[in-house]
Formats: sequence, C-alpha cells, structure tokens
Amino acid sequence: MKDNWGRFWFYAALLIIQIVLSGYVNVGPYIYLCCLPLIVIYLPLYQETSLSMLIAFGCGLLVDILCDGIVGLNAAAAVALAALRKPIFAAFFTKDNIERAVIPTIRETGVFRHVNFIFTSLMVFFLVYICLDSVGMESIQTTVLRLVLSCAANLVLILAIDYFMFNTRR
Amino acid sequence: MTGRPALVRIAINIVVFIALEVLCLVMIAGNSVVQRYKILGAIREAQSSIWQRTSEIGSYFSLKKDNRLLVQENVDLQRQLNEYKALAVKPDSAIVHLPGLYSYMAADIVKSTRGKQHNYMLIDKGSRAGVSEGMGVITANGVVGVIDAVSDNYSYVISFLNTEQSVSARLTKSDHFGLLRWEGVNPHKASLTEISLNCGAAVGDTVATSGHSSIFPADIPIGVISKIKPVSGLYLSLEIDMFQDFSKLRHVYIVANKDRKEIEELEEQGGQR
Repeated sequence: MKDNWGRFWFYAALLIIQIVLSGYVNVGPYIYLCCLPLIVIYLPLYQETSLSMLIAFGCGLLVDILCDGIVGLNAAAAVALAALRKPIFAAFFTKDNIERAVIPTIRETGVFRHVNFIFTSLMVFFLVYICLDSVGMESIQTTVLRLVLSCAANLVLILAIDYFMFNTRR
Repeated sequence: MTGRPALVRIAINIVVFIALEVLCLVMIAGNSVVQRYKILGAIREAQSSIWQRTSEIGSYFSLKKDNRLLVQENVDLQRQLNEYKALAVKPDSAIVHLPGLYSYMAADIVKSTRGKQHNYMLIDKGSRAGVSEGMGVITANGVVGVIDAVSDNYSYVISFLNTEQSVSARLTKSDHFGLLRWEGVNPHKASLTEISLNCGAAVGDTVATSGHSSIFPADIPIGVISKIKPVSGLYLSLEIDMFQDFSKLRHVYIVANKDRKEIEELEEQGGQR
C-alpha cells in the first residue's frame, strides 16, 4: 500500500517536471525534453502490457493537454513505447534481471545495460513522436538530427532523474 | 493449455494498441491542420491502393466470364459480318455470299495433338448443342479443322494439321483458287497447289477460304504467300505462312452451313447421272 502511494507520488513528480520542462525550458527546435518515457519505462514489469498502454495513453494525454501541445502526440508515442517496453527489456536484460527488477533502475540492472535499454526506449518514443510531429514536412536529415539529439538529451535527463530519485530513496 | 491464454493476451494487446493509436491519430488530426491533411492524405492513398488491388483481384477472377462474353460477341459479329458481306457482293466477283447461310457457335478445345501426321482435337460442344459431323471449325485466323465424330457433349475434330485434310482456298488479289494442304512438317506452313501460272501471285499476298465448299464460308484469312514454286510447267505451288498458331489455340468457332444437306444431296444426284 505504502509502495503504491510512493509510486503515485513519483509519477506525479515526473508529471510536474514534465510540465515545468515544457512550459519554461526552451532548448531549441531540435531537442524536445520530456520525462514521459521515464513514466512508461518505470511502470512495474509484472503489469499487463494492455494496462501499461492504457496508463501510458492517460499520462501522454495529460501531458498533451497540460503542456498545450498537439493533443494525442505524446499519447501516441507513449502507447507505442508501452507496447514495446517488455520486448526491449527482454532484449537487453537477463531472465534474472527481469525477475529481480520490478522497476528497471540502474541499481537493479547495471549501468551499461540500463543505458542501452533507456536509449532504445527513447528511440521508439521519439521516432513515433517526431514522425507524427513533422509528418513529411521536414527532411530526413532534420528528422534524424532531431531524433538523435532528443534521445541524447533525454538520456542524460533520465539518468540524472534515475540517479537522484532512486539513490535518495535508498 | 498454456498457449491459449498467451495468444489471447497478445490479441488483447494488439487490439488495445491499435485502438489507442487510432484514437491518438484522430485527436492529432482534429487538433492540427497540417497533421490532419497529411494523415487523411495517407489514409486516402492506402484506401485507393487497397481498392485498386481489390479491383485487380476481382478482374482476374472474372476473366473467364469476360472471355466467354467476348467469344459470344465475336460469334454475333461474325454472323453480322457474313450478312453484310452478302449485301456488298461485287457483281463480277467469283465469290457469292448468301445471307445467313452460315451459323456460328463458340467452343473450347478440350484436347488436341500437334506433333503427329494426323492430328486431331476434342471440343466441348456435341450433338446436344446442335453440332453434327461435317461441320467446319474455324477461328478469326483461319481454318482449324472439320468435325468427324460427335458425342452428346463433345466433338472429334480432324485438324487442318492432318496430311489427309485439304481446304479450298483462293488468292484474295486475283480470286484464283486451289487446294490448301498441310505438308506434315512445319505446323506454321501449308501449301496451296493447282494455282494457274498466270495468276500473278506474289510473295506476301493473302490467301483466304474460297467458299467453294459447303463446310467453310468464304474469305476467312488463312495466311500469306512465302514462296512460289512452278510445278510441271502448268501450275504453281505456293508455300503459305499460316496466320493460325495451332499451339496457342484454345477457343474456336463451329461453323455450320444451313443448306449443307441440300447441297450434298444435289451433289449426290449429280454424281449418279
């Protein structure tokens, strides 16, 4: 029960960070800072994929509405990530990791694998997001640049959040 | 036992995923003009592609029916052509067309031989369809054969590619006529014999049926002259490149002379005298 409340506050904090990032932090047209992928990644692994997708859809929609963006854009990307979360996790982690790590954190899974996992997850999220956002209006080079820069920036952001939040909790 | 719930789970996940993504796309299209334009454009493109494929598949499966309709149309056109020809007879022509003298019926080849000296074919129309022995079998490209035997639903046709078969043919330029016969070697070539030396035949001239028999109507194009050889100083033997490729033959027309019995009876009476 206590653990559930902790998780709720954790997600609420991430949502607040997301709103602050979208409203007050401007890092140029090529980088979109977003901690919505982290919410999806940190959903418990034992959770059904369909339920994860519904939660991701709800969170994405909330971010879209609160951050005054195109409604549905974050939701579509979050749903895609939630759908592929388990296969991506299975690709990078051992069975032991999967059994032990209810929530995949650096502490549970190790730095190298965790970075790979987060980066792949971000690629999925931003691929859907940027493709739907630009829909043929931008050149391939611009799209790829946006994808790589956004993934790199968000990787740093997520690792920082991961380090501070989970190390503090320990 | 364990497979079924896993499959059900996967199916549920796929359904939920598609439903949520579609919902997202609808919301995106509703909130942004550019995205709406692009998404609807992509949907329309996919739709037209699917319609095109569906239409192509439909066309493929209706080919047989279309083919039958075309064959029937050809039969009707052949009949009309015959009637028009009869109306447009030149007064000095050696060929006389009688209106409505021939009737046509479409048939498909069930079996045929080509590699023998005495080739034959089976067609899918028999006595029930009104076919009888002695009727001709043609295509738009020439003479195919003569019906030799008939069962209820099939007919046995002696192919023109039979060394014992001959057809009365004429040069379309000069109206000289002779006997066209397959030599038994090349299925694309036949020879027209008993053509008089002064006929003025030249390589490339067209040969057609003469109409001097009760089996085949006149003016069915058969082929073109490819070689001219004098025979014994009196006649010419012409090598003909036939229009009809017997290896590609699938559909034919059975042609029936309505007055054939009457003509044959008359011939018999004449022969007795």
